[in-house]
Amino acid sequence: MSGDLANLTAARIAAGVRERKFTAVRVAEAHLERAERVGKALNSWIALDAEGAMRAAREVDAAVERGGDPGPLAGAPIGLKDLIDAEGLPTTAGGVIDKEGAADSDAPLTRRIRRAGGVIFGKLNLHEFAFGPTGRNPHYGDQKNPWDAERMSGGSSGGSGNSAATGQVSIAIGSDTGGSIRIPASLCGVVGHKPTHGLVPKSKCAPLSWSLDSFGPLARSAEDCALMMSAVAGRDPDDASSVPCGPPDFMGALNAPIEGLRVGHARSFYEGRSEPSVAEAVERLARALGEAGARVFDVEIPDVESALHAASVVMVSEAAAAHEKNVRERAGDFDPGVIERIRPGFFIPAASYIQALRFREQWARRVHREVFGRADLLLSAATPIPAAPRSASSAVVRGREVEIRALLISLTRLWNFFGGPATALPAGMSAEGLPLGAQIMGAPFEDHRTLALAHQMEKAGIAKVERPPT
Amino acid sequence: MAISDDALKIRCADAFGDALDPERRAAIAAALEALDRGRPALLERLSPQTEPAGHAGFLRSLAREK
Repeated sequence: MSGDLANLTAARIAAGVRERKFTAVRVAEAHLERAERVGKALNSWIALDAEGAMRAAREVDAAVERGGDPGPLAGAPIGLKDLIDAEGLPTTAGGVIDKEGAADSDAPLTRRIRRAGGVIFGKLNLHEFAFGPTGRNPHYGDQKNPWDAERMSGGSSGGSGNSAATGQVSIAIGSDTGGSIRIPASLCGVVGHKPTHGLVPKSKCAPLSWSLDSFGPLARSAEDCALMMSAVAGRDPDDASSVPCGPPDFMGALNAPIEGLRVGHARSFYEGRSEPSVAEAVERLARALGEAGARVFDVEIPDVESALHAASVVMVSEAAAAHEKNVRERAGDFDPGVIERIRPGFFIPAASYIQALRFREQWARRVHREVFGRADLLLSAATPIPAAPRSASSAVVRGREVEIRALLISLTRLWNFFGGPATALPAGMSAEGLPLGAQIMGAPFEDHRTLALAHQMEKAGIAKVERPPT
Repeated sequence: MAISDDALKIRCADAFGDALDPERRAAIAAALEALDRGRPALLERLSPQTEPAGHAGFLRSLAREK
């Protein structure tokens, strides 16, 4: 039975705990066993807090015993990417510079999860400072792919991806600045949701690039991602990016049918950049959506190259600003591959950064008008390749050798620049038995719609989360 | 906007307290050149109406509509 409990989704766990079918303590025990065993093998965790998890689970059970409602995440095991403060635990951001000293209080994101009854299991491993898409980490070990441990998990939320895929937790929280939720979701074969910028609080979370960072869930179903979004989305007065709006009804929106949806197929955006097996998998999804009653048609995203250029300028400039003091004073403590990408940001002229920000407004308004004037949602590949070997520094796509980091973020970082939501979801398996990933992209504050379409695709059998061996 | 290695050496020493080795300086120069290559096309497209905080305003305007 304990193994069965670790296979349940968060929605089913919360329902079972609230209906007294099983206790949060038994759920925590089942998941902790897996987290200790599988998590160690995959380098999922920086700090697995078994004691804190059991204490939180007992509190959930006590609330149920008293006749109270512990909340919509009642007893669900949750992992936090180690950028997010949780009281009593250090926030390392995947590095060693700030590894001493515990957070004196929870981040608003953590607090909202606890208030909803989620049981925090601890801090998940990541690419150092969230600045890399492979999941390599010289300090805490490379995050490994659950389908083949010799391959990369994807990153930067690699521990979030591999822990959610293997049922160590039912939902993991990641962050996404250039694809760091969607890339590991795609390579590990789970659902990952990058929220609209400013919808989920990020105060007391370590930044990489303030204007591009978003925090969101990775889970084994779109429903669980929606459940987490219901718990955490909403105004945060301490987050300068937080947008004053009431969060949508994520759970209510899940039932929106596929029939009649206008789905723009962003074929020209991903096809030439992707391995043929990935492009064929997304093509299959597009066909299946059409058969399910959606109106699917090709859509061109305007001026992609200029937007990608401007996105790079913004990300590198802001990353240099975020890490300036430590780059000057603690250079030897960085992963050499990370500091190498931060340093150029010190020399980008202020005028270049400002022009990139100006272009961002102009381009985002144009995409909103031209693309979302025609389509409700967009369909694309999430990553152009399945998981590469952990040692790979490049990969060949359509006869062209591309540096692995640039390749992995090539289809995701555009949407951080746009600021809209994107839900990554499984698109089948490669011939080598590795997950392939697609993404549904939406207009800002249409998070409920990207999640609803992913959910409906799961229900219709168009997208399916497979379980890696544990 | 190519930066000579001599100039970069001085700027690295100033920014990092270390002039770095030639290989690292070459990596920085290559990254800056790549970033600079896209700049002319971007400048050509910029409308005078746009401003640096415009994207945040765009998101807020959409939030208000919801």
